Amino acid sequence: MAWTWFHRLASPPHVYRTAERLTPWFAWSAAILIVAGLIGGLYLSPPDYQQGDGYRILYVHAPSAWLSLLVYTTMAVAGGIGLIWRMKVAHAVAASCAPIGASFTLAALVTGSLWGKPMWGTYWQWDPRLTSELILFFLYLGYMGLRAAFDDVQRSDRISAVLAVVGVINVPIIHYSVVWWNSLHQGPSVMYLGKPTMPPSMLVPLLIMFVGFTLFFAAVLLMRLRGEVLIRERAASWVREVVHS
Amino acid sequence: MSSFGSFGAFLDMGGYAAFVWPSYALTLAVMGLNVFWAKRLLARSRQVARRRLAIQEESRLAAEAST
Repeated sequence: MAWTWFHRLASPPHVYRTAERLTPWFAWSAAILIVAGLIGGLYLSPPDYQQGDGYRILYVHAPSAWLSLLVYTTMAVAGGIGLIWRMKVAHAVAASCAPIGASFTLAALVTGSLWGKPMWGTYWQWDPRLTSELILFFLYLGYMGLRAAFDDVQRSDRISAVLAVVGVINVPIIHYSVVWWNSLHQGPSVMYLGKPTMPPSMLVPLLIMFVGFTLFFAAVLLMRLRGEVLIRERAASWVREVVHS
Repeated sequence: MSSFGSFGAFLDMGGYAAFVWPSYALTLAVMGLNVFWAKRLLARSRQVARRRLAIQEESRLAAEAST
């Protein structure tokens, strides 16, 4: 049995149909969790003892920043699998990730900036965490620009995958930047030495948002993936069935 | 349940309204755009695939007619 799942993952018609079937499940559970997280974060949770209601930016900032890293890691792993096993579906996953990741990286940067102004007194600092996150944004843009520079899909898949794999070194740098360097940015507040530093009334909406954003990513990824798989499989006979249904 | 005494206080966000609301608006806009972009990509690639299949079908029929 061991490798059958791997081969099915590599089969474009199987992936297309599975993605189609799974998308509404991810989309609806994401929608429910995000609405619950919005109510919890904006309304039900108590104000912070230092930052008052300003800290509520956390509930959109931290999940956006989480997605910026999760999406990049997914993109790099998929690109790497595509390079090693020459798997079209893996390249399609990587290509699907880039615009999602870029947009959430921008959201993390701008919401962080809007949080920084009242709390730190500035919209921007060339701080390790902020700078490495900005580099992540440029990595996404570079990846998309590189893809757009080639007409041949297979070539742009291979060349952009190399950039995605090399750039993944930035992910641990972003994550540990607040630990390694004396950063203006606060440390990890959800889990610090295994113990949460927030009361449950603040933590629960945040965890709901993390799960909701992750499921949202899955839903959008699966939708884009179908498009990217079709781009790479236009001549195959199964395409006839799915595009006329 | 909530820490806000009134709807006005909720909108004011303890004086941080100018920072909190744009953050939420931007994040929700990013989510909306992601859904829009994904649907557009899928619709376009389906259309391209359909057109290509139609062209293949035409050339196949033409080849059959000529033999």
